[in-house]
Amino acid sequence: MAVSNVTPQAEEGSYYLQLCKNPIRFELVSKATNVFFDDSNKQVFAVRAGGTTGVVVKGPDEKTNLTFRMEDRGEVISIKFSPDHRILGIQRCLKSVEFINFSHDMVPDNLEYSQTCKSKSTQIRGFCWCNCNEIVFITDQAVEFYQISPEKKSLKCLKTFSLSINWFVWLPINCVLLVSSGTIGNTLNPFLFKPSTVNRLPKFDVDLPTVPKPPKLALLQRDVTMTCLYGVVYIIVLRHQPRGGTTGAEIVLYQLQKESPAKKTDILRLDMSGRFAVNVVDNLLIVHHQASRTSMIFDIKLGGEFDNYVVCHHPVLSPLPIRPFRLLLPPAPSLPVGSEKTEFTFELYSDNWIVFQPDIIIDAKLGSLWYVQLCLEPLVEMIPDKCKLIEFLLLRKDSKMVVLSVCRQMLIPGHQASLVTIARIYDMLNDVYKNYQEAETQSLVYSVDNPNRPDPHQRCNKVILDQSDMYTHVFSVFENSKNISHKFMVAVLIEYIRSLNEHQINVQHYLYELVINILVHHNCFYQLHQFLQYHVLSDSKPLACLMLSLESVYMPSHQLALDMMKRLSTANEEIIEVLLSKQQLLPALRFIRSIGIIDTVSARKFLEAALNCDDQMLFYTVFKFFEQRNIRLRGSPKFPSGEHCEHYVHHFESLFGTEALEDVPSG
Amino acid sequence: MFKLFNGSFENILRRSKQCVTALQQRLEYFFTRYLLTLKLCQSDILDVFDGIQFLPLNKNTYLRIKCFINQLEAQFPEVKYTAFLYNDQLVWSGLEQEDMRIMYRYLITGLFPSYLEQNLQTENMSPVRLSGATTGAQIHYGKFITGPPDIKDESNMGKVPHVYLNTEEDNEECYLLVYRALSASVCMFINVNTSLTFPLCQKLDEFLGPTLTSLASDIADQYSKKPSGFTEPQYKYVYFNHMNLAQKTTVHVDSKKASTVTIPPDTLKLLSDISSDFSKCEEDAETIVKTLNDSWVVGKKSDHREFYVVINQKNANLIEINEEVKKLCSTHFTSVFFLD
Repeated sequence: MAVSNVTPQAEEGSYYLQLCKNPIRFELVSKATNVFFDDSNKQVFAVRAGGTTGVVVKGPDEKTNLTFRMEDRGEVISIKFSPDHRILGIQRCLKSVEFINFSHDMVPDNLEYSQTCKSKSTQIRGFCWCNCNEIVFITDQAVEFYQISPEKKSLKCLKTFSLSINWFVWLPINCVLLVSSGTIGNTLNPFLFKPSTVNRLPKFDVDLPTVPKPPKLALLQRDVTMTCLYGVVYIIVLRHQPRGGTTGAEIVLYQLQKESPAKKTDILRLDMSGRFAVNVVDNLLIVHHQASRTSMIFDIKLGGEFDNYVVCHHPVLSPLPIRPFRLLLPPAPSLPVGSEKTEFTFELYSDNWIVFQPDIIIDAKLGSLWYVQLCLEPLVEMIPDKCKLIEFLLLRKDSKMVVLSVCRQMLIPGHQASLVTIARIYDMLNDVYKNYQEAETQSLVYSVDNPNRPDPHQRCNKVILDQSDMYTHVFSVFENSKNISHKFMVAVLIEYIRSLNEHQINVQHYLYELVINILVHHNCFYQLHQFLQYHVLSDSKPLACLMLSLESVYMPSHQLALDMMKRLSTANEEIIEVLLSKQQLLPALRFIRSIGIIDTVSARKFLEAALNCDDQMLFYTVFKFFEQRNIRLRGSPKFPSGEHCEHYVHHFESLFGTEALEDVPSG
Repeated sequence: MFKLFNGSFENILRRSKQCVTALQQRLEYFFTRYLLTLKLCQSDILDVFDGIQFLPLNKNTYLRIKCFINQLEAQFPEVKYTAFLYNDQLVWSGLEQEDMRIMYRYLITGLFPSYLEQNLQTENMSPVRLSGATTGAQIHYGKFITGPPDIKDESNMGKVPHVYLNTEEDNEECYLLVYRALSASVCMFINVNTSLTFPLCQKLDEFLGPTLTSLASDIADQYSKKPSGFTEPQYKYVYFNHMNLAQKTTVHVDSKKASTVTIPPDTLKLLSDISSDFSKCEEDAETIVKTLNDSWVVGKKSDHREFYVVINQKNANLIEINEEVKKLCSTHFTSVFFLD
């Protein structure tokens, strides 16, 4: 369902789509100038007087912009560079395509060569570059696949498929060609191009609401596009009068299959009728509706109503217009020279708009080319359901900071979300995090045999929020905002720790520290005790030391600390220190005996502690213990001078006399 | 126990404007009934410890329970403190330790046994209930132990005890609302200044019922998976930790102590005697006793923990028994710091 509680247009924030700030400007169409757009390289060609007075090429990459001249050999029908910009293809008639080679510094050699289509009776409907040196001609009777050799200035036909063709659609990124055949045009034949090969994929029929009688072309090129959503190729068919009584148009998605005919998978309900155009931005389908001057967004991953056959989607949000766009233009000629440039707010959704895939809008009359962009920040206010919002944002790229700010917002009083919502959102974040971690481990395994592994970031193309992100950007709000109840803070952190545990992600120590600090700060020692008892807060040396320091305020923490040190098994040194500091000398001696480190401990440390106990018997015992050790290690009860125990020997002698010392064996 | 239901003497006196008679009446009313429930002849070392049995749980289940309680308290601010038990074992207490000690005692010796008994009588052990037959059939087993006996009968709020707690403030009077699904119980403490209404109970039932049922059956699953068939050891032990009041026993068949103990009564009494000796000295200590019927009793006290083992090993000598106990400690108490 479309949800929006914001009145559109009223405020600056209530737009979710905008046109890029710096459009590509090009010459207007006139008697002398023709303008072409190549949607593969996204370049605009302004051809003046058939090329004799210049061809101006402009594209997204300024480095590839160029101007050159060519001979006027008739009206240009279509003009496109190869992907590496080294060969220019020009179609001027229905029988052939001409080529001009370009040097590295983009200078044409102006020696055209040409390729005619196979049969004399056919007409070329168009051509597409499949590769730097491969090109496909689509004629009315065949698909002709050529390899081009610029050095020899010749082409070689690699493959021909004969079929009658009404029109075609080309998806440059995936090199998929779709041609329409049949009288009513609803039989679609996909071809998949790969370097020097082409695969003909199974054809499929698009069901039409009504079949005209007598039969004539009913499925038109303007109603069919192709796109890639979440890495999968879809054929998008706009259906103006859907069958089955529902009013308004709909869009049907066919998922391209390798082995079987394309499968109808999704239906997008537009609930409007009239002229539509489709763009794809960040895996979202954007449907522009001219009559209402609004655009809708659809996300096929957000789920919809499934009828065991297709999934039916509604727009993510209510239709809204694109953010108004202003252009600074030179003053009109009627105004005095020297006037400032004037700012024009121009018409959106104008009749002069032409929409190209995936995200391009061209206004031919204004001479502008824009990219459509998604505005994420305003969406935060438009989707009140936080779970849905996060789900949506996690599917977008570059949404990390927005997601973090939403997570942060959810903890601030006044905007606080319920713990149930927070729990679900943390689970979503950690799902993505876990999948990413797994992908990363897998790619590490692969990288051993394959150094050209794809970057996991690119592969998942997803927003990853790890523990340090959450700590620095989300939980940090606890420090600054004093009016959050400690109960809520602990609940939120425990919820996050639970989610991490359930996703088998190791919890970082700083999260535990945060929980402990909050609990200690609010004297919730018994709660802390219970968490430790169930090992919710994992053992660590710093945590054990922290617990030790709490003994004065909470007595049991001493025991907790010792238990933890024992489990760590790397904190024996600390255990000895603790026991000695508590004057528990005999337990300390028993402890070193139990873990078998009698031979390595410092006798001085124990003797010093025994001396401080002010207990003669205890001192005697400890002294004798180490005398025995000396005998065992060196055959003599004497302390080696390196141990610096002379002071304690003197003390022993003064208490018990020299005769109490163990005899030094003679010889 | 008196304080749990009546508050401190001082508090009673203050509320009755220093009228000692009121206190006397209260004391008489309470103790004439309470003393009769004590079965001194059956008392043993567990009554000396007065400890709490904790439910051993894995971290994930424990966290789920804790989060569930957090959600409960966040959604129903009326609920001030919560405790979660599974059968007679404690999982979480929002009360302070001393409060929980008394509360635990009341729950497992008073409330739970009488509830179970009542249920047995009415042959109503597992009331499978469909909550809102129209809104999807969601079966849960939740039911109030104290509070409305029937969630559909609005006229009957049932009995809700008042208890006095000292967790956040002294002598805080609270309603004790206990809700149970299968073997899991949630005790909710609601300050008497907040009104406890029927709609609130209904909402609590809706919130608690389904989740508590699934949590309870998850815990049950965890226990049924645990290897139960490992051979009965030759020894019985009792363990108690003064710091968290945790106790464990293999001497008693169940914590209800229905006079089912696995060692002879005089040996059991011996444990209490050793414990009493320990309580007289500050230091850690160890006592080894051989009984007339040739079994050994070893008592150890180490850093606020007490541990007693009864070993039935004929013709064993002191050294062997000592070794046996060492072995026992190293297998059963690996995660605690226990000096030998």
